[in-house]
Amino acid sequence: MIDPVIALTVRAALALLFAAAAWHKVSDRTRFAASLDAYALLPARLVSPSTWLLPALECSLAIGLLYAPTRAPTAIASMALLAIYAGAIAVNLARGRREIDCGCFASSARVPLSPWLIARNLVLIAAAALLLAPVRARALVWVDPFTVLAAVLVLWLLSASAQRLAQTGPGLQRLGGLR
Amino acid sequence: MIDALLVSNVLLWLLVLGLALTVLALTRQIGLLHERISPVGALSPQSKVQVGDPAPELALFDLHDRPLQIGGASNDESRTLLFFLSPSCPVCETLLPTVQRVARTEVPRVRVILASDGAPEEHRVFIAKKRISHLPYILSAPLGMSYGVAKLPYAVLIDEDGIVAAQGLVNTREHLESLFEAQRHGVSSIQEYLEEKAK
Repeated sequence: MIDPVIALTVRAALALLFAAAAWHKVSDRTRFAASLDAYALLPARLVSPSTWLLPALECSLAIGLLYAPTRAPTAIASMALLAIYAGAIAVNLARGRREIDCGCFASSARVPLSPWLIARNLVLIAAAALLLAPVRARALVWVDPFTVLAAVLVLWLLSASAQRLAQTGPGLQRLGGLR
Repeated sequence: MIDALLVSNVLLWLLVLGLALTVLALTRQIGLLHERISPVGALSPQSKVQVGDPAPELALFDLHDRPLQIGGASNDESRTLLFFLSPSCPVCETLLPTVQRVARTEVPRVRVILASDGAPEEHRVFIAKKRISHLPYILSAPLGMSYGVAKLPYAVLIDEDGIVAAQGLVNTREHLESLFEAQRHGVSSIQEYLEEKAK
């Protein structure tokens, strides 16, 4: 049993995340193609169609999450996609290929692969799993929309900060020095 | 209503937790930055005048025909920054704003003197172009020689008692500011500072 406010917040936040991810991929397709290529998981002739397919998939997930009747199947599909992404990162980390652009964020941010990205995807999968729980029936009052809106906004800002940290952290490591 | 507030409160705490973790990560990164970027110091080549020596005393006239006394105890408790430059040195030009800021804002007061040598016409054009006529500008080869200036831009900080407090080749703003840091910490060079820190 989860509260409707929690469910709404998670749905809106995940939808926002997928929409932004799709936008980043479409807005710089050459970079995304290079990034997919660097992952070295897809056959070369599938890379180009994937640069359209993945953003389209993410976009439909964003819409599906917001549309109430389809939210449970969409949640499962989201978990699957996030798990695939996490798997792709894990495989490349295991291969020792860290210095490739993860392609997860805006093109201005080149984030190298790290276990943190897998942890991030696991958190997102857990959030999507929350949506499978039955929602408790209760009447929404005036404070609820405000809670949802503020929470989504703060989550967005937090994820932006986390992204910056993922970007500057490895940069710091590369500075070398005492440790 | 109470349910809505409860949910809102729990959500708020979770977000505060996330924020706190982010702040923690940030402070860690700042700490690492401090550790890894060691202080920048002006490069002090072997020079005629050592830090701690009295500055050579010279009485000169600047380009604007104002008399100037360099070296010796200051009569108004001000320090002196001798900035050796040349109109043909681009690095010197990029440092001029910092030099002007030092003259304007450094406390206790710093008397900034620009020093160079060569034909006066070229320097007058430079002064007009850079709008630095408010700063004393000396053309004197003996001045540079008495401080053993070989490379530009070079700066010498002389304290209020006429003792050389810090000096060196200054290529960036950090280098120039490190002269004042060096005086504040009472160390003569970056090597000495790092040795003391390691103890």
